[in-house]
Amino acid sequence: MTTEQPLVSVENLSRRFDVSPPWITRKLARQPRRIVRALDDVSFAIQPKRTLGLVGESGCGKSTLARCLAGLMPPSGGVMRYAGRPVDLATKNEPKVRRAVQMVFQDPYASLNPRWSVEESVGDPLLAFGLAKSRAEMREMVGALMVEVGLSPKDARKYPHQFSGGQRQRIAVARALASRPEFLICDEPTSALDVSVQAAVLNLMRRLQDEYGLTYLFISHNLTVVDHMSDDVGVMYLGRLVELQPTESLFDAPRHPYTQLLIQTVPSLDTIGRASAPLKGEVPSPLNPPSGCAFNPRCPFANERCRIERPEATALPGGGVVACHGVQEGRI
Amino acid sequence: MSAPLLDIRDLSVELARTAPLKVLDGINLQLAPGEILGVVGESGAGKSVTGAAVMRLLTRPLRQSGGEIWFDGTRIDTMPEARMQKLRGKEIAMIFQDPLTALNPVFTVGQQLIQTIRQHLPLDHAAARARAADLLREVGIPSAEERLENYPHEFSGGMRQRVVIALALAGEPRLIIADEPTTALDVSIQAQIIALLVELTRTRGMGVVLITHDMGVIAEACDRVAVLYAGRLAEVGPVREVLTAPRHPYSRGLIAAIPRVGARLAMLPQIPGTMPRIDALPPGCAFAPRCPFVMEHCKTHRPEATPRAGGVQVACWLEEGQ
Repeated sequence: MTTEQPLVSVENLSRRFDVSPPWITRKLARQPRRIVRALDDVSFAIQPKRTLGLVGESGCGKSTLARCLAGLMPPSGGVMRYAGRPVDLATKNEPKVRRAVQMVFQDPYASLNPRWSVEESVGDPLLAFGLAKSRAEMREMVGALMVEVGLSPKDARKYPHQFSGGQRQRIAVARALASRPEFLICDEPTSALDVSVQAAVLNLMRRLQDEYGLTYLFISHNLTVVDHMSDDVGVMYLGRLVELQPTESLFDAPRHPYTQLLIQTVPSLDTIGRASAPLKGEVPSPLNPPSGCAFNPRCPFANERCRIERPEATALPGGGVVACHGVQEGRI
Repeated sequence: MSAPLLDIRDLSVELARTAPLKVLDGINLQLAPGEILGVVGESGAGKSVTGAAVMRLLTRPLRQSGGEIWFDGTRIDTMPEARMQKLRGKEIAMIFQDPLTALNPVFTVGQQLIQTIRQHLPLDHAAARARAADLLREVGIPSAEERLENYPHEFSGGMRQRVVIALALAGEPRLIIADEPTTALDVSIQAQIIALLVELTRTRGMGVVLITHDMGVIAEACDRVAVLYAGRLAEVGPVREVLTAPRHPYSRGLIAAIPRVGARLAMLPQIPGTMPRIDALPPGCAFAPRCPFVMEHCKTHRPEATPRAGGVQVACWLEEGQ
C-alpha cells in the first residue's frame, strides 16, 4: 500500500439500528432497548484508481457500509473522508462529492424504475447535476453512455423489462457513470447474473476503471470474483473488519481464522470430488453478538481471552491489518 | 454402470402456444443409485424444467411433448396421477431453492414433518414424531427434539434448508431432485449443505439430480455433470472429464468465464453474445451464432449428443469431423 493521499477513507465508522420493541411493551414487559451494531468501528482507506474488495456473509454489514458511504443513510459514528476532507454525504451540503460518489446495486430488476425509459433513468443524473444543459444534449450524452457500456443508443428509448439481467446491469452502470463519478460503490453487482454474463459485466467494469481512472469499493460474497477485481481485500464479520490485506497476501496467507476458513470453503473447480471441510456453525445474530471476539464460538483457536476481550485491528508487518488475539500473540 | 435409477429418454417439453415452442428438446440423461448428477446452464437453459418434468410438476402452458421418463424400471411420465402422487414425495422428493417458501409458515416444523412422514410411512403419531426428531438430527440440527416445536421463521436460512432436506428425506426417497438448493445461502453455509447432501447420498444410496448454475458446487458435489444450452444437451460426462477438458465450445466458454483465485487475469474470457430466445433458435446448432469455431455445416445441421472417449457425450460437429 502506498502512502499517497487516499481518495476515500473511513475512520471508526459505525452504524447502529434501534430495533427495540415499542416503549409501552418495554415498560410493561421490562424489556431493555435492543440495538444492532450493523457496523462497528470500521476503518480503511482506498487509494485513487484502486479497488478495495469487501467480503463477508449475510448480515456482516457489507451493504450497510455501502449505504453509509453513498450517503443513503447517515452513520451513527465515525468519519468518512473524501480526498482528505471529512464529508457527510447524508446531508445535502456536498453536491460535488455526491456527484463523484455513485453506486451500482445488486438487483438490476429492483434498481431501475420500471416506469421510466432507460433514457429517463440514465439521463436523470445528467439533468439533476446540470451536466446536460438541454434535453437534446441529455439525449446525446445518454446515447454515448449506452455505447460506452456496450448497448446501442437506440436502446435508450426502451423500458427495463425489455432487457435481460446482464443488460440491465449495464444500464445501471451507465446511470452510475452519467455524473462522471470518481468513486463507484458496487454492492454485489454480479450476484444476480449467470457466470457468462458476470464475466462480461466484470470486464466492462475493469475497462471503465482503466479508461476513467475510477476508484472502486467492490462488495461481494463471492471470493473468486473479489480476488479477480480487487487490489486489496477486506473481510467483515458481524459488523467488524477482521482483516484487510493486499489481495495476493490475503489469498496466499490469510491470517484471521475466519478468513482462512472462508477461503477453504470456496467451491472451486480445482477441488473436484472433494467437498471442502465446511466451517462449523453459523454467523451469530447481530442482536446478540458473542462477547469478546465475535468469531470465538466458531473459531478452532479461541481461548479464554478471545471470549472476554474484543481484539482491535493491528497492523501486519507486510501491510494490512488483522483483528485477532491469536495472530497478535503469535499463536496462529 | 448398474441399471439406472432414473432414465430420461429423448425428453421434450414445449410451451403450448399457437406455434408451440420447444423448451426442452431431446434430452437424454441417466442416473445410477448413489450418484449425484449435476445439471448446469444459464437461466432459461431448461434446468428447472427438467426437474419439474421428472416430478411431473409441469404446469400449463408447459407440457411434455415427447420422450419417456423411467424411474427404477417403471415408466412414470404416462402413469396415472393417482399413482404418481404415491411416488412423489415418497420415492422421488424435491428440494427447492428458497426454504422460506418451501415451508408452511403457520405450522411448526414438527407438524410438517410428522404429517409428511405419516403420509408416506405406516407409523402412528408417536413413532412419526420420533422419526421426525431423528431426521432433524440426521441433517445436523442441534437439540432436534425441541426444534420440532419451532416455526420456520425461528430458523436461520441454513437451518431452514436443513429442515427442507429433512422433509424431503421423510418418505425415505430413492431419488432427490434438488433445484438450486444452496443458491440462497452464504458460502460457509452452502459448503455445509453440499457436504450434507453428499454424505446422505453416500449413506442412503439415493440418486440426486443437483440443478445449479454454480460450477464450483458441481465440482465439489457431483459425479457426473450435464451442460444444458437453450433446452438442449450440449455435453454430459464425468465431472473431472467435463471440467478439466470440456469439449463443447459452450462448456469451454462457460468454464473459462469463471474467475479463479490467484489467476490474476486482466480480463475474463467471455462468450460473445447471449443465449438465443427459444422462439428464435437458429436452424442448426443453437450455439452456432456465438461459437468461435463455427463451420458452415453447424449453421444448418443440428448436432446430436454422441458418445466420445472418457464416457463423455458431446453434441458438436467439431467432434464429429475429427
